[in-house]
Amino acid sequence: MAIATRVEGLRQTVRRSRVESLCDHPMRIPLAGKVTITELLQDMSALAMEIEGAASTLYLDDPNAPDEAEWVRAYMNSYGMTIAAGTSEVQRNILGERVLGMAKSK
Amino acid sequence: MATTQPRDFGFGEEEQMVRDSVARYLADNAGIESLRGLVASDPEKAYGSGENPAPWNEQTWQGLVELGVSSLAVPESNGGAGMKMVAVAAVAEEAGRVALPSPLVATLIASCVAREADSPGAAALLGEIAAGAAVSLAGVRADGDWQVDCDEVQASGSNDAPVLSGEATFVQDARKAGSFLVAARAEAGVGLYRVAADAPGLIIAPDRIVDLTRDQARLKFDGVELDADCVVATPGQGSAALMAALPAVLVIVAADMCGAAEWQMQTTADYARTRVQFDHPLGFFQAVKHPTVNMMLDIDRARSLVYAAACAVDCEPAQAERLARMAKAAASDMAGFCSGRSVQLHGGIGFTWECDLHLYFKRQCHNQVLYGDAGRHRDNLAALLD
Repeated sequence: MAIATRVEGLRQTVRRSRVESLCDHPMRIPLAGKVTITELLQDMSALAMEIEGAASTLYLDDPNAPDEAEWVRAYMNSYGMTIAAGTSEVQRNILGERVLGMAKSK
Repeated sequence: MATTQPRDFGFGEEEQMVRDSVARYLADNAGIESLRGLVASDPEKAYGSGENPAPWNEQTWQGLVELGVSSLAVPESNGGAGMKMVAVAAVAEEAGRVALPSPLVATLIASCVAREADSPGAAALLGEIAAGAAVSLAGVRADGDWQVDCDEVQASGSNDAPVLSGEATFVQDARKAGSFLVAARAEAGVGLYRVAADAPGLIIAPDRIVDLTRDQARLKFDGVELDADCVVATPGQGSAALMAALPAVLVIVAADMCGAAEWQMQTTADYARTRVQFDHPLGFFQAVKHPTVNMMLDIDRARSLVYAAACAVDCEPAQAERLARMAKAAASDMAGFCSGRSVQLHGGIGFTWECDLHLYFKRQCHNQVLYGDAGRHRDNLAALLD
Protein backbone atom coordinates (compact mmCIF):
# COMPACT_ATOMS: atom_id res chain seq x y z
CA MET A 1 0.00 0.00 0.00
CA ALA A 2 2.98 2.29 0.55
CA ILE A 3 3.94 1.84 -3.11
CA ALA A 4 0.33 2.22 -4.27
CA THR A 5 0.19 5.48 -2.33
CA ARG A 6 3.40 6.69 -3.98
CA VAL A 7 2.04 5.84 -7.44
CA GLU A 8 -1.16 7.78 -6.77
CA GLY A 9 0.88 10.56 -5.18
CA LEU A 10 3.01 10.88 -8.31
CA ARG A 11 -0.07 10.94 -10.54
CA GLN A 12 -1.64 13.68 -8.42
CA THR A 13 1.59 15.65 -8.25
CA VAL A 14 1.84 15.73 -12.04
CA ARG A 15 -1.77 16.97 -12.02
CA ARG A 16 -0.95 19.62 -9.41
CA SER A 17 2.07 20.85 -11.37
CA ARG A 18 -0.38 22.37 -13.86
CA VAL A 19 -2.27 24.30 -11.18
CA GLU A 20 -0.15 27.36 -10.54
CA SER A 21 -1.97 28.44 -7.39
CA LEU A 22 -1.11 25.12 -5.72
CA CYS A 23 2.62 25.25 -6.53
CA ASP A 24 5.02 27.39 -4.49
CA HIS A 25 7.94 27.39 -6.91
CA PRO A 26 7.44 26.89 -10.66
CA MET A 27 10.32 24.40 -10.99
CA ARG A 28 9.71 22.49 -7.77
CA ILE A 29 7.61 19.68 -9.25
CA PRO A 30 9.11 19.58 -12.78
CA LEU A 31 12.66 19.25 -11.49
CA ALA A 32 11.61 16.51 -9.07
CA GLY A 33 10.06 14.37 -11.81
CA LYS A 34 13.08 12.37 -12.86
CA VAL A 35 14.24 11.34 -9.41
CA THR A 36 10.71 10.62 -8.19
CA ILE A 37 9.72 8.41 -11.11
CA THR A 38 12.95 6.42 -11.40
CA GLU A 39 13.20 5.74 -7.66
CA LEU A 40 9.55 4.71 -7.55
CA LEU A 41 10.10 2.21 -10.39
CA GLN A 42 13.17 0.87 -8.59
CA ASP A 43 11.33 0.39 -5.30
CA MET A 44 8.29 -1.05 -7.04
CA SER A 45 10.30 -3.72 -8.85
CA ALA A 46 12.20 -4.49 -5.64
CA LEU A 47 8.87 -5.04 -3.90
CA ALA A 48 7.68 -7.28 -6.75
CA MET A 49 10.81 -9.41 -6.36
CA GLU A 50 10.25 -9.60 -2.61
CA ILE A 51 6.73 -10.86 -3.25
CA GLU A 52 8.04 -13.43 -5.74
CA GLY A 53 10.51 -14.67 -3.14
CA ALA A 54 12.75 -17.51 -4.36
CA ALA A 55 11.03 -17.41 -7.77
CA SER A 56 12.73 -14.07 -8.39
CA THR A 57 15.95 -16.04 -9.03
CA LEU A 58 14.49 -17.32 -12.33
CA TYR A 59 15.50 -15.33 -15.39
CA LEU A 60 14.39 -14.88 -19.01
CA ASP A 61 13.49 -18.07 -20.90
CA ASP A 62 13.01 -20.06 -17.73
CA PRO A 63 9.52 -21.55 -18.12
CA ASN A 64 8.80 -21.12 -14.41
CA ALA A 65 9.84 -17.48 -14.18
CA PRO A 66 6.92 -15.36 -12.90
CA ASP A 67 5.82 -12.64 -15.36
CA GLU A 68 8.56 -13.89 -17.71
CA ALA A 69 11.16 -12.49 -15.29
CA GLU A 70 9.95 -8.99 -16.02
CA TRP A 71 10.43 -7.72 -12.45
CA VAL A 72 13.98 -8.90 -11.90
CA ARG A 73 14.90 -7.39 -15.25
CA ALA A 74 13.13 -4.16 -14.37
CA TYR A 75 14.89 -4.05 -11.03
CA MET A 76 18.35 -4.47 -12.56
CA ASN A 77 17.61 -1.98 -15.33
CA SER A 78 16.19 0.51 -12.84
CA TYR A 79 19.73 1.41 -11.81
CA GLY A 80 20.35 2.52 -15.35
CA MET A 81 17.53 4.99 -14.88
CA THR A 82 18.55 6.29 -11.46
CA ILE A 83 22.07 6.85 -12.85
CA ALA A 84 21.59 8.00 -16.45
CA ALA A 85 20.79 11.61 -17.38
CA GLY A 86 21.90 12.93 -14.00
CA THR A 87 22.00 10.53 -11.06
CA SER A 88 19.44 10.81 -8.30
CA GLU A 89 22.17 12.49 -6.25
CA VAL A 90 22.80 15.11 -8.92
CA GLN A 91 19.02 15.63 -9.21
CA ARG A 92 18.84 16.29 -5.47
CA ASN A 93 21.71 18.77 -5.76
CA ILE A 94 19.81 20.59 -8.51
CA LEU A 95 16.61 20.67 -6.43
CA GLY A 96 18.43 21.87 -3.33
CA GLU A 97 20.26 24.59 -5.21
CA ARG A 98 17.67 25.78 -7.73
CA VAL A 99 14.48 25.42 -5.68
CA LEU A 100 15.66 25.77 -2.07
CA GLY A 101 18.58 28.10 -2.76
CA MET A 102 21.07 26.01 -0.80
CA ALA A 103 24.81 26.28 -1.35
CA LYS A 104 26.34 24.72 -4.48
CA SER A 105 28.32 21.51 -4.13
CA LYS A 106 32.08 21.72 -4.72
CA MET B 1 -8.61 5.72 -14.52
CA ALA B 2 -11.72 7.58 -15.60
CA THR B 3 -12.53 10.38 -13.25
CA THR B 4 -15.16 13.05 -12.84
CA GLN B 5 -12.74 15.36 -11.06
CA PRO B 6 -11.75 18.66 -12.67
CA ARG B 7 -8.09 18.67 -13.68
CA ASP B 8 -7.34 21.71 -11.53
CA PHE B 9 -8.84 20.07 -8.39
CA GLY B 10 -11.60 22.69 -8.61
CA PHE B 11 -9.19 25.10 -6.98
CA GLY B 12 -10.25 28.29 -8.71
CA GLU B 13 -10.04 32.01 -8.08
CA GLU B 14 -12.53 32.03 -5.22
CA GLU B 15 -10.70 29.26 -3.36
CA GLN B 16 -7.38 30.97 -3.93
CA MET B 17 -8.77 34.23 -2.58
CA VAL B 18 -10.01 32.57 0.61
CA ARG B 19 -6.68 30.80 1.11
CA ASP B 20 -4.61 33.92 0.50
CA SER B 21 -6.68 36.12 2.78
CA VAL B 22 -6.40 33.55 5.60
CA ALA B 23 -2.65 33.23 4.99
CA ARG B 24 -2.25 37.00 5.19
CA TYR B 25 -4.39 37.27 8.29
CA LEU B 26 -2.43 34.50 10.05
CA ALA B 27 0.94 35.92 9.00
CA ASP B 28 -0.09 39.24 10.56
CA ASN B 29 -1.75 37.87 13.68
CA ALA B 30 -0.28 34.45 14.41
CA GLY B 31 3.40 34.56 13.44
CA ILE B 32 6.10 32.52 15.10
CA GLU B 33 6.99 35.22 17.66
CA SER B 34 3.44 35.45 18.90
CA LEU B 35 3.19 31.65 19.00
CA ARG B 36 6.38 31.38 21.04
CA GLY B 37 5.19 34.08 23.43
CA LEU B 38 1.83 32.41 23.76
CA VAL B 39 2.67 28.76 24.36
CA ALA B 40 6.42 28.50 24.96
CA SER B 41 7.41 31.50 27.05
CA ASP B 42 8.33 29.26 29.96
CA PRO B 43 8.89 25.46 30.04
CA GLU B 44 7.86 25.36 33.70
CA LYS B 45 4.52 26.88 32.82
CA ALA B 46 3.99 24.64 29.80
CA TYR B 47 4.81 21.30 31.43
CA GLY B 48 4.87 22.16 35.13
CA SER B 49 2.63 20.46 37.62
CA GLY B 50 -1.09 20.23 36.99
CA GLU B 51 -2.76 20.46 33.61
CA ASN B 52 -1.36 22.01 30.41
CA PRO B 53 -2.34 25.66 30.31
CA ALA B 54 -3.02 25.25 26.54
CA PRO B 55 -3.23 28.99 25.91
CA TRP B 56 -4.73 30.43 22.74
CA ASN B 57 -5.46 33.84 21.37
CA GLU B 58 -9.22 34.34 21.40
CA GLN B 59 -8.89 37.59 19.49
CA THR B 60 -7.21 35.82 16.58
CA TRP B 61 -10.02 33.27 16.63
CA GLN B 62 -12.64 36.02 16.61
CA GLY B 63 -10.88 37.50 13.59
CA LEU B 64 -11.13 34.16 11.80
CA VAL B 65 -14.81 33.93 12.71
CA GLU B 66 -15.39 37.40 11.26
CA LEU B 67 -13.57 36.37 8.07
CA GLY B 68 -16.07 33.49 7.85
CA VAL B 69 -13.30 30.92 8.12
CA SER B 70 -14.77 28.92 11.00
CA SER B 71 -17.98 28.31 9.04
CA LEU B 72 -16.26 27.54 5.74
CA ALA B 73 -17.58 23.96 5.73
CA VAL B 74 -21.09 24.88 6.88
CA PRO B 75 -23.58 24.75 3.96
CA GLU B 76 -24.97 28.06 2.76
CA SER B 77 -28.49 26.90 3.66
CA ASN B 78 -27.32 26.81 7.29
CA GLY B 79 -25.79 30.28 7.19
CA GLY B 80 -22.21 29.21 6.43
CA ALA B 81 -19.88 29.87 3.54
CA GLY B 82 -20.51 26.44 1.96
CA MET B 83 -17.07 26.42 0.39
CA LYS B 84 -15.60 23.46 -1.47
CA MET B 85 -13.47 20.95 0.42
CA VAL B 86 -10.38 22.10 -1.51
CA ALA B 87 -10.81 25.54 0.08
CA VAL B 88 -11.24 23.98 3.52
CA ALA B 89 -8.06 21.94 2.93
CA ALA B 90 -6.15 25.05 1.90
CA VAL B 91 -7.24 26.87 5.05
CA ALA B 92 -6.28 23.91 7.26
CA GLU B 93 -2.88 23.95 5.53
CA GLU B 94 -2.43 27.60 6.49
CA ALA B 95 -3.44 26.84 10.10
CA GLY B 96 -0.78 24.12 10.19
CA ARG B 97 1.82 26.42 8.66
CA VAL B 98 1.59 28.71 11.70
CA ALA B 99 0.85 25.82 14.13
CA LEU B 100 -2.23 27.78 15.14
CA PRO B 101 -3.59 27.12 18.63
CA SER B 102 -7.32 27.47 18.02
CA PRO B 103 -10.51 25.46 17.75
CA LEU B 104 -10.50 26.01 13.98
CA VAL B 105 -9.56 22.47 12.94
CA ALA B 106 -11.94 20.94 15.49
CA THR B 107 -14.78 23.17 14.29
CA LEU B 108 -14.16 22.41 10.60
CA ILE B 109 -14.21 18.71 11.45
CA ALA B 110 -17.41 18.98 13.49
CA SER B 111 -19.06 20.88 10.60
CA CYS B 112 -18.10 18.13 8.17
CA VAL B 113 -19.75 15.52 10.39
CA ALA B 114 -22.86 17.54 11.22
CA ARG B 115 -23.56 18.38 7.57
CA GLU B 116 -23.80 14.64 6.84
CA ALA B 117 -26.80 14.44 9.17
CA ASP B 118 -30.14 15.81 8.05
CA SER B 119 -32.14 16.87 11.09
CA PRO B 120 -33.32 19.96 12.98
CA GLY B 121 -30.57 19.23 15.53
CA ALA B 122 -27.91 19.21 12.79
CA ALA B 123 -29.28 22.48 11.40
CA ALA B 124 -29.15 23.99 14.89
CA LEU B 125 -25.53 22.92 15.40
CA LEU B 126 -24.45 24.16 11.96
CA GLY B 127 -26.28 27.42 12.66
CA GLU B 128 -24.36 27.71 15.91
CA ILE B 129 -21.07 27.31 14.04
CA ALA B 130 -22.17 29.84 11.42
CA ALA B 131 -22.86 32.26 14.29
CA GLY B 132 -19.28 31.85 15.50
CA ALA B 133 -19.35 28.99 17.99
CA ALA B 134 -16.41 26.63 18.37
CA VAL B 135 -17.49 22.99 18.30
CA SER B 136 -15.51 19.83 18.82
CA LEU B 137 -16.31 16.22 18.02
CA ALA B 138 -16.38 13.53 20.68
CA GLY B 139 -16.48 10.30 18.75
CA VAL B 140 -13.12 8.60 18.76
CA ARG B 141 -12.42 5.10 19.98
CA ALA B 142 -10.17 4.65 23.01
CA ASP B 143 -7.32 3.69 20.64
CA GLY B 144 -7.67 7.06 18.89
CA ASP B 145 -8.96 5.68 15.60
CA TRP B 146 -11.94 7.07 13.73
CA GLN B 147 -14.95 5.17 14.93
CA VAL B 148 -18.42 4.70 13.62
CA ASP B 149 -19.52 2.10 16.19
CA CYS B 150 -18.84 4.09 19.35
CA ASP B 151 -20.03 2.55 22.59
CA GLU B 152 -18.08 4.45 25.23
CA VAL B 153 -20.88 6.95 25.64
CA GLN B 154 -24.40 5.61 25.99
CA ALA B 155 -27.67 7.32 25.20
CA SER B 156 -30.81 6.30 27.05
CA GLY B 157 -34.32 7.71 27.19
CA SER B 158 -36.46 8.80 24.26
CA ASN B 159 -35.40 10.95 21.31
CA ASP B 160 -37.34 13.78 22.95
CA ALA B 161 -35.33 13.57 26.15
CA PRO B 162 -32.11 11.61 25.67
CA VAL B 163 -29.71 11.17 28.56
CA LEU B 164 -25.96 10.63 28.01
CA SER B 165 -23.61 8.74 30.28
CA GLY B 166 -20.11 7.37 29.90
CA GLU B 167 -16.78 8.82 28.84
CA ALA B 168 -15.53 10.13 25.50
CA THR B 169 -11.77 10.18 24.84
CA PHE B 170 -9.36 12.23 22.70
CA VAL B 171 -11.64 15.23 22.31
CA GLN B 172 -9.66 17.94 20.51
CA ASP B 173 -9.47 21.51 21.80
CA ALA B 174 -12.20 20.71 24.31
CA ARG B 175 -11.40 23.68 26.52
CA LYS B 176 -11.84 26.06 23.59
CA ALA B 177 -15.18 24.67 22.43
CA GLY B 178 -18.61 26.05 23.28
CA SER B 179 -20.39 22.86 22.25
CA PHE B 180 -19.60 19.25 21.50
CA LEU B 181 -20.89 16.89 18.87
CA VAL B 182 -21.05 13.61 20.74
CA ALA B 183 -21.39 10.11 19.29
CA ALA B 184 -23.31 7.88 21.70
CA ARG B 185 -24.80 4.43 21.47
CA ALA B 186 -28.47 3.82 22.10
CA GLU B 187 -30.39 0.59 21.65
CA ALA B 188 -31.13 1.35 18.01
CA GLY B 189 -27.51 2.18 17.19
CA VAL B 190 -25.16 5.16 17.27
CA GLY B 191 -26.66 8.63 17.44
CA LEU B 192 -25.08 12.07 17.38
CA TYR B 193 -25.90 14.66 20.00
CA ARG B 194 -25.23 18.34 20.53
CA VAL B 195 -24.08 19.07 24.07
CA ALA B 196 -23.22 22.52 25.42
CA ALA B 197 -19.85 22.71 27.16
CA ASP B 198 -21.55 23.98 30.30
CA ALA B 199 -24.30 21.34 30.36
CA PRO B 200 -25.01 20.07 33.89
CA GLY B 201 -23.44 16.65 34.39
CA LEU B 202 -20.70 17.15 31.79
CA ILE B 203 -17.17 17.19 33.16
CA ILE B 204 -14.27 18.21 30.90
CA ALA B 205 -11.16 16.44 32.18
CA PRO B 206 -8.08 17.76 30.34
CA ASP B 207 -5.40 15.30 29.23
CA ARG B 208 -1.76 16.15 29.81
CA ILE B 209 -0.44 16.22 26.25
CA VAL B 210 2.87 16.73 24.48
CA ASP B 211 1.57 19.19 21.88
CA LEU B 212 1.61 22.76 23.19
CA THR B 213 -0.47 24.16 20.33
CA ARG B 214 -3.74 22.50 21.28
CA ASP B 215 -5.58 20.89 24.15
CA GLN B 216 -7.25 17.54 24.47
CA ALA B 217 -9.66 16.14 27.03
CA ARG B 218 -11.89 13.34 28.18
CA LEU B 219 -15.54 14.21 28.44
CA LYS B 220 -17.34 12.55 31.33
CA PHE B 221 -21.09 12.36 30.97
CA ASP B 222 -22.85 11.82 34.25
CA GLY B 223 -26.45 11.61 33.15
CA VAL B 224 -26.43 14.66 30.89
CA GLU B 225 -30.06 15.46 30.05
CA LEU B 226 -30.78 16.77 26.56
CA ASP B 227 -33.88 17.72 24.60
CA ALA B 228 -35.14 16.91 21.11
CA ASP B 229 -33.26 19.86 19.61
CA CYS B 230 -29.97 18.27 20.64
CA VAL B 231 -30.43 15.16 18.49
CA VAL B 232 -28.19 15.71 15.45
CA ALA B 233 -28.57 12.15 14.19
CA THR B 234 -31.10 9.72 15.64
CA PRO B 235 -29.83 6.37 16.97
CA GLY B 236 -28.86 4.23 14.00
CA GLN B 237 -28.11 7.23 11.75
CA GLY B 238 -24.92 8.38 13.46
CA SER B 239 -22.56 5.74 12.10
CA ALA B 240 -23.42 6.58 8.49
CA ALA B 241 -22.80 10.29 9.09
CA LEU B 242 -19.43 9.59 10.74
CA MET B 243 -18.39 7.27 7.92
CA ALA B 244 -19.48 9.74 5.25
CA ALA B 245 -17.46 12.49 6.94
CA LEU B 246 -14.28 10.42 7.30
CA PRO B 247 -12.60 11.54 4.03
CA ALA B 248 -13.17 15.21 4.84
CA VAL B 249 -11.81 14.75 8.36
CA LEU B 250 -8.66 13.01 7.13
CA VAL B 251 -8.14 15.72 4.51
CA ILE B 252 -8.26 18.44 7.17
CA VAL B 253 -5.73 16.75 9.47
CA ALA B 254 -3.41 15.80 6.58
CA ALA B 255 -3.56 19.35 5.22
CA ASP B 256 -2.57 20.71 8.64
CA MET B 257 0.46 18.39 8.55
CA CYS B 258 1.42 19.56 5.05
CA GLY B 259 1.41 23.20 6.11
CA ALA B 260 3.41 22.48 9.25
CA ALA B 261 5.92 20.36 7.31
CA GLU B 262 6.43 23.06 4.72
CA TRP B 263 7.37 25.41 7.58
CA GLN B 264 9.74 22.76 8.99
CA MET B 265 11.38 22.24 5.60
CA GLN B 266 11.70 25.92 4.69
CA THR B 267 13.05 26.75 8.15
CA THR B 268 15.63 23.98 7.83
CA ALA B 269 16.68 25.06 4.32
CA ASP B 270 16.96 28.62 5.58
CA TYR B 271 19.14 27.52 8.48
CA ALA B 272 21.41 25.56 6.15
CA ARG B 273 21.73 28.64 3.92
CA THR B 274 22.61 31.06 6.70
CA ARG B 275 24.31 29.11 9.47
CA VAL B 276 28.10 29.46 9.34
CA GLN B 277 30.44 27.24 11.36
CA PHE B 278 34.23 27.66 11.27
CA ASP B 279 33.88 30.12 8.38
CA HIS B 280 31.87 27.71 6.22
CA PRO B 281 28.13 27.19 5.64
CA LEU B 282 26.54 24.19 7.33
CA GLY B 283 26.59 22.13 4.16
CA PHE B 284 30.37 22.34 3.85
CA PHE B 285 30.93 19.80 6.63
CA GLN B 286 27.69 17.87 6.62
CA ALA B 287 25.30 16.36 4.10
CA VAL B 288 22.24 18.56 4.62
CA LYS B 289 21.01 19.24 1.11
CA HIS B 290 19.75 15.79 0.17
CA PRO B 291 17.73 15.11 3.32
CA THR B 292 16.14 18.56 2.98
CA VAL B 293 15.21 17.78 -0.62
CA ASN B 294 13.79 14.45 0.57
CA MET B 295 11.54 16.38 2.94
CA MET B 296 10.37 18.46 -0.01
CA LEU B 297 9.63 15.39 -2.17
CA ASP B 298 7.59 13.79 0.63
CA ILE B 299 5.65 17.00 1.28
CA ASP B 300 4.78 17.32 -2.40
CA ARG B 301 3.41 13.78 -2.56
CA ALA B 302 1.25 14.23 0.55
CA ARG B 303 0.06 17.66 -0.54
CA SER B 304 -1.02 16.41 -3.97
CA LEU B 305 -2.94 13.56 -2.36
CA VAL B 306 -4.62 15.99 0.05
CA TYR B 307 -5.98 18.11 -2.81
CA ALA B 308 -6.97 15.04 -4.82
CA ALA B 309 -8.87 13.68 -1.81
CA ALA B 310 -10.47 17.07 -1.13
CA CYS B 311 -11.51 17.29 -4.77
CA ALA B 312 -12.98 13.80 -4.53
CA VAL B 313 -15.07 14.89 -1.53
CA ASP B 314 -16.37 17.73 -3.75
CA CYS B 315 -16.81 15.90 -7.05
CA GLU B 316 -16.22 12.15 -6.86
CA PRO B 317 -17.38 10.70 -3.53
CA ALA B 318 -16.73 7.12 -4.67
CA GLN B 319 -12.98 7.81 -4.66
CA ALA B 320 -12.90 9.99 -1.55
CA GLU B 321 -12.19 7.36 1.08
CA ARG B 322 -9.35 5.76 -0.90
CA LEU B 323 -7.65 9.06 -1.68
CA ALA B 324 -8.17 10.43 1.84
CA ARG B 325 -6.66 7.35 3.48
CA MET B 326 -3.71 7.64 1.09
CA ALA B 327 -3.38 11.32 1.95
CA LYS B 328 -3.42 10.69 5.70
CA ALA B 329 -0.97 7.77 5.41
CA ALA B 330 1.43 9.77 3.22
CA ALA B 331 1.12 12.86 5.41
CA SER B 332 1.68 10.97 8.67
CA ASP B 333 4.86 9.32 7.38
CA MET B 334 6.00 12.58 5.83
CA ALA B 335 5.37 14.54 9.03
CA GLY B 336 7.43 12.12 11.11
CA PHE B 337 10.28 12.33 8.63
CA CYS B 338 10.19 16.14 8.41
CA SER B 339 10.09 16.51 12.20
CA GLY B 340 13.07 14.23 12.68
CA ARG B 341 15.17 15.77 9.91
CA SER B 342 14.38 19.35 10.86
CA VAL B 343 15.63 18.85 14.42
CA GLN B 344 18.63 16.72 13.42
CA LEU B 345 19.80 19.12 10.70
CA HIS B 346 19.63 22.07 13.08
CA GLY B 347 22.13 20.29 15.32
CA GLY B 348 22.44 21.23 18.99
CA ILE B 349 20.21 24.28 18.78
CA GLY B 350 17.42 22.13 17.29
CA PHE B 351 17.25 20.19 20.55
CA THR B 352 16.60 23.25 22.68
CA TRP B 353 13.49 24.90 24.04
CA GLU B 354 14.61 28.22 22.53
CA CYS B 355 14.42 26.82 18.99
CA ASP B 356 10.83 26.92 17.68
CA LEU B 357 11.13 23.56 15.92
CA HIS B 358 9.85 21.66 18.95
CA LEU B 359 6.45 23.33 18.67
CA TYR B 360 6.00 21.91 15.18
CA PHE B 361 7.63 18.58 16.07
CA LYS B 362 5.04 18.08 18.82
CA ARG B 363 2.09 19.25 16.73
CA GLN B 364 3.12 16.77 14.01
CA CYS B 365 3.46 13.93 16.56
CA HIS B 366 -0.13 14.62 17.61
CA ASN B 367 -1.46 14.82 14.06
CA GLN B 368 0.40 11.70 12.94
CA VAL B 369 -1.71 9.46 15.16
CA LEU B 370 -4.90 11.51 15.24
CA TYR B 371 -7.80 9.57 13.64
CA GLY B 372 -5.51 6.68 12.71
CA ASP B 373 -1.78 6.53 11.94
CA ALA B 374 -0.19 5.67 8.59
CA GLY B 375 -0.18 1.91 9.20
CA ARG B 376 -3.84 1.91 10.16
CA HIS B 377 -4.83 3.69 6.98
CA ARG B 378 -2.70 1.46 4.77
CA ASP B 379 -4.38 -1.49 6.45
CA ASN B 380 -7.79 -0.06 5.59
CA LEU B 381 -6.62 0.72 2.06
CA ALA B 382 -5.64 -2.90 1.47
CA ALA B 383 -9.18 -3.96 2.38
CA LEU B 384 -10.59 -1.21 0.16
CA LEU B 385 -8.60 -2.19 -2.94
CA ASP B 386 -9.25 -5.94 -2.64
